[in-house]
Amino acid sequence: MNSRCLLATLALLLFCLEGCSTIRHGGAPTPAFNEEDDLKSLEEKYKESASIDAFYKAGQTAAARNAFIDGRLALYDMQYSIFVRDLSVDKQHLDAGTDLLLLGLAIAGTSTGAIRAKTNLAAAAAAVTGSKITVDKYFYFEKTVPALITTMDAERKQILAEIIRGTNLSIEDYSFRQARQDLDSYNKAGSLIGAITIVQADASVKDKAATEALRQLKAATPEQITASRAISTQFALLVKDPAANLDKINKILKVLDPSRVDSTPAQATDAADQLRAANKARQPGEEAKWRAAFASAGITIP
Amino acid sequence: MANYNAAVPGNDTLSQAESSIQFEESKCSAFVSSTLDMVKMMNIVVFQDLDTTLPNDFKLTRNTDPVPVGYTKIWQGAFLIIDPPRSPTPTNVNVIAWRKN
Repeated sequence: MNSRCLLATLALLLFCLEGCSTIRHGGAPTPAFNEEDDLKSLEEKYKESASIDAFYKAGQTAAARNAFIDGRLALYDMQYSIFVRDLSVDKQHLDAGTDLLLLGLAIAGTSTGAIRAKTNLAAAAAAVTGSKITVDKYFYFEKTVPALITTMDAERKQILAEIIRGTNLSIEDYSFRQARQDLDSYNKAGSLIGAITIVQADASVKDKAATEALRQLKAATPEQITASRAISTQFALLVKDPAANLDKINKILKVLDPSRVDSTPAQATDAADQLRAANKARQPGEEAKWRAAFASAGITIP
Repeated sequence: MANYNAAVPGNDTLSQAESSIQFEESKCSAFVSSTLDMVKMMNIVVFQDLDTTLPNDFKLTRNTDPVPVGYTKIWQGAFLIIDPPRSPTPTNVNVIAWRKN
């Protein structure tokens, strides 16, 4: 009775699932045309012009190159559209299928009186949950599929812009070989591996920038720390009244950065801010340079 | 006053780490706290920018060291340091940060 009940529940749920266009079409309305049929038509239409042979037979002209590009782009775009749709549907099928199966197992579990059957159904429910987690983690990277599709779209658009720019150029300026390479890159940009590589590269660049932005402190000797405190004491006296000390601050800044134009900045607050920034960036071992800078303004650092 | 982060490498000794923090404080900043970055093997230290004020002296000790006289505890936590020859690679150590009264 229990297995019949379970099968009936699952059959009913699968029937409902099959009728749901949201699930079947990756969250999009039912297509107004059959994509597979369109792909066949496009293949038929562009079979000739999208072939390498056709380019050479047509006299290796810019027009023949552009016809080749048009054909390949149309085919790649249609294949990509189907790929993205299937990717979204797969993920949604997985979620909906697993959730409904779990629901079925739970219903069957509560309707059975036998303890052994209940245990088996509970184990089955746990196994289904576990399988879904595994698939999510290893094949769909949890919720990253939409992010990867966005990355693929962005990369494809970037390459497409280059290809379209190329179609306006002569065959000498945008060679057939270059067009084929760009088309190959365009096709590869529509792959999950390509998108993951881009995401990883972006993350690596961001991580590197974050690490570089984080200033690394250096060990100092007790003498360097004492001298540094003395410099900061004099620095504080100057920036507390920047208007009165503008000339001195500018002299100090000039020694610290000889490329600076004399008497700049003219605004006292700007000068004080620049001295603040320079003081914060100061490293152990630069005490002599700072002593000389203050000396140029008539200030002696002990 | 704004806070900012700076890194103390995990391959510094406790004495070197203490001196690098003392030097940063000598530029009108005050140690606030620290967290570990076990991926980059460094300590991410938070400082408060005091603008033109110099904070009182700072000390960094192991939690097993004697309490320095005349100092108040301002932070305690994990810090990545080396301690050759006993521990030549970065090791997570429980330390206490002190501020002179």
